[in-house]
Amino acid sequence: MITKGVQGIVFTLACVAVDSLAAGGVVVIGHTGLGHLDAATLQKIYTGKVIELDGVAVTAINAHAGSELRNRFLRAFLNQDEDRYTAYWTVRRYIGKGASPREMPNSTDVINFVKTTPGAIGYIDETDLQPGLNVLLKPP
Amino acid sequence: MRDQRSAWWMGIAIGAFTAAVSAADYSVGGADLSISAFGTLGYAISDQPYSYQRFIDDSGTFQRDSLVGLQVDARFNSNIGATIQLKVAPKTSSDSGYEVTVPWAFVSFRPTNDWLIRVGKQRIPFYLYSETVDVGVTYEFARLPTEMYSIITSNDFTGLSIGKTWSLESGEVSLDGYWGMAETDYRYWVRDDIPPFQTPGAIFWAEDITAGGIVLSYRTEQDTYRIGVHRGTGEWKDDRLFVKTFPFVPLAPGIGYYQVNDLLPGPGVPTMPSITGTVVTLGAAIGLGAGFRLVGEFAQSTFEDTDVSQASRRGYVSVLKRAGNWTPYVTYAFLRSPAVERDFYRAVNYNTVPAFVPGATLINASQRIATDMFPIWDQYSVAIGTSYAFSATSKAKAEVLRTRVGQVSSLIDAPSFGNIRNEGITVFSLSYNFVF
Repeated sequence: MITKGVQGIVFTLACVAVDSLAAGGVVVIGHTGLGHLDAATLQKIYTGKVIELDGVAVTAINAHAGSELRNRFLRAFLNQDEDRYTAYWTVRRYIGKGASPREMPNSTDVINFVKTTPGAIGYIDETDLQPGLNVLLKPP
Repeated sequence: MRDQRSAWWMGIAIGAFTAAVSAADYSVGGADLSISAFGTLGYAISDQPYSYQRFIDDSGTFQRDSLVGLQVDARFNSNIGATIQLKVAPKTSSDSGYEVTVPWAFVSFRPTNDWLIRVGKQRIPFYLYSETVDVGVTYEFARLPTEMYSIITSNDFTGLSIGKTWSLESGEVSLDGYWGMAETDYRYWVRDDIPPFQTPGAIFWAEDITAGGIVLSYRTEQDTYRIGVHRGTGEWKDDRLFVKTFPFVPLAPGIGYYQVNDLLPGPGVPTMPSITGTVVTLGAAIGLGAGFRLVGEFAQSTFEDTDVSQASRRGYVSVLKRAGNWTPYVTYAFLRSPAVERDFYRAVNYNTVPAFVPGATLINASQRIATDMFPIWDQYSVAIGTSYAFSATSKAKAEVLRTRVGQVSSLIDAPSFGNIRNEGITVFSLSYNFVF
């Protein structure tokens, strides 16, 4: 018979696992030569406030708006949802400070772009990681 | 009417084109292009037969708030970009018809994270919402308070702007400076009929302005604070002169007139070829917690060497509360000319010479017409409204506005041989706003 205490532990572990799946499992990758990022810098890159790191021009790549991967990325790293992120970039566009980062449809395209473009930064699902990719940041 | 239909067909074409092409970014000749569109379909109706804010009266109008626009953002690399915006909206040089204008057409250069340089046609950073004034989705108000957002007819200038940002732990501080030239149209409403010299109605004078200013802003995640100082010099396009004052010409004890025109006998109307003014602006948007937000702006403008100017104090304060998709708000706004200007307006407008004075009719009518050219205000408004966000890119808004006019307001088209004072106007507004 499983005691109530063990039931509670199992329940808690299950909640943590679900939460990790919901918010985690996304890794930020970058072109070789880019160093490790902190969360604050990553936020500034994806909100258009940072365009270069140590003299290297940065090109950020997003997944398509509304995709599950993008939702997990926004939650894990920007503490936002799609509506808030879209609203932010709507204002930014119409105050003349540019459009949101380019979007790519799948992890394969993101990986190819990051490998071949100096300064490129993108995010993929952890399960799509390949040997040799430069991981810049994982969810906390 | 043909102008209006043509312009709206163009607006629909812009919207359809953008809907078709905006599904993805484009790459052309090495540049990334992003195309977007925005628009507002707005209706407003008042309880008065005379026009308020050019178009609003008791017959209702779509002209006050409706517009459509298209914007193309080009990114050549991480440092250099360009933006062009087209807009279809009512003409600023006429009360009939629509026009396509280019509010923005600039190249931007961002040499580092913290510097931004722009050259070309862009927005004068007068207000908190200067840059997005035409994009209704980006704010909750059905209409940005006219008492504040009417310092100048056109918010666009062609020139140079430079911005520097300092990142702090708590937020960021930015200092923006600009200098350039603008063209704007001033609208005056002539009340009275003086055949053959003048017919009642709107007249438009075009002005060239050279201006510059600096704006200091502090932003955190929730709050924005800013202060700006702006200074400009204007010249009428058709070599018209600016009036310094109207000298009083006494005829007899207690009888006289203001010489409002050099055709009337008198010492001569002192004039100057240009007018120089200074505007100080303050603004703040503050998160109060629990979904409440406080937004307020204030501006004081002063002009040199004249009793007849757009000098004013104006501002508003608004409390908003986000509740799910709804954001109701209450706003108080005011707009008042200085006492010197109001007293002078009253003195000229209500001064009359008795009928036995030769030319009395023309003199009295001329004085009233001269005061029609006074930009003068004495009003406050209270608005209650709400927005409803269908999504991050579309909103509906509704508002009831009650404006109280004291002595006079140049935002009102007064009826012939009448004066609008100590009156109230109620305006109901409804709009749908979108971007895509």
